[in-house]
Amino acid sequence: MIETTGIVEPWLWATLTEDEVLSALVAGHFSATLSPDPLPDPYLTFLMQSTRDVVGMSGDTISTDNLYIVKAVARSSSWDEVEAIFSRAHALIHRPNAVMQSGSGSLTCVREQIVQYPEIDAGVQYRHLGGIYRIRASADD
Amino acid sequence: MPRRIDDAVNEVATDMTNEFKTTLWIDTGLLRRVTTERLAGLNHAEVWIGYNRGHGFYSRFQEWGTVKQAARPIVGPTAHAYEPVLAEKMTKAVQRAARAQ
Repeated sequence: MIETTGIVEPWLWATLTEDEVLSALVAGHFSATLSPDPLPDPYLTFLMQSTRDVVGMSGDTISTDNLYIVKAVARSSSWDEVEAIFSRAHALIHRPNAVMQSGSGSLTCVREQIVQYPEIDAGVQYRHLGGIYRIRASADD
Repeated sequence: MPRRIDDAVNEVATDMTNEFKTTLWIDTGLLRRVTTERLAGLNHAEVWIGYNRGHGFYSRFQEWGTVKQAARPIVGPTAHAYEPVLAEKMTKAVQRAARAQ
């Protein structure tokens, strides 16, 4: 699926990790869909939640419609730390009315839903704050 | 016209509910209860997951992951898959209603 592996994920990874402010907030701790190991917190992670082909009248796939979860995670009893991280990430990737070039194609990215929940593991509180982003991608002809 | 659209909304909600009953995380029994609420006349239906609704709270850990467990999304992908289904049913419902006027 060239749209997700060749267009969407490279754009997400580059946009998030190449930002110095965001990188400093998470001490360089980023993970993506295929990251093998858990990261020390705080960290920012993204993963594909769902993807669907958009098929034209001819039967050809003309684009893909993807939902990605992008969230900040921190060991904290307040939302302050994850809010600072995620606010920066959101400012970088939520791009209404914009078309971005990536790899051999283009994409659009807007947030559709907030993801926010606390978690307690072995008595330690973690906060998850992020969003679900709809990313439509199409490969160049 | 509203009744036909209501019917289309309810049909999709019922289909989603039936699908969730077979696909939701089976190792978390509390989440296997799925209920559908239909609000007649409002073109609106809600699909709830978990016993007494409140226990659906745990579904977010499955759906979006924890610090130790990767996300295992089911609800979002199902809703995503049903978007074009709903659009098609709504289109047909509006077309049928328009012809009937």
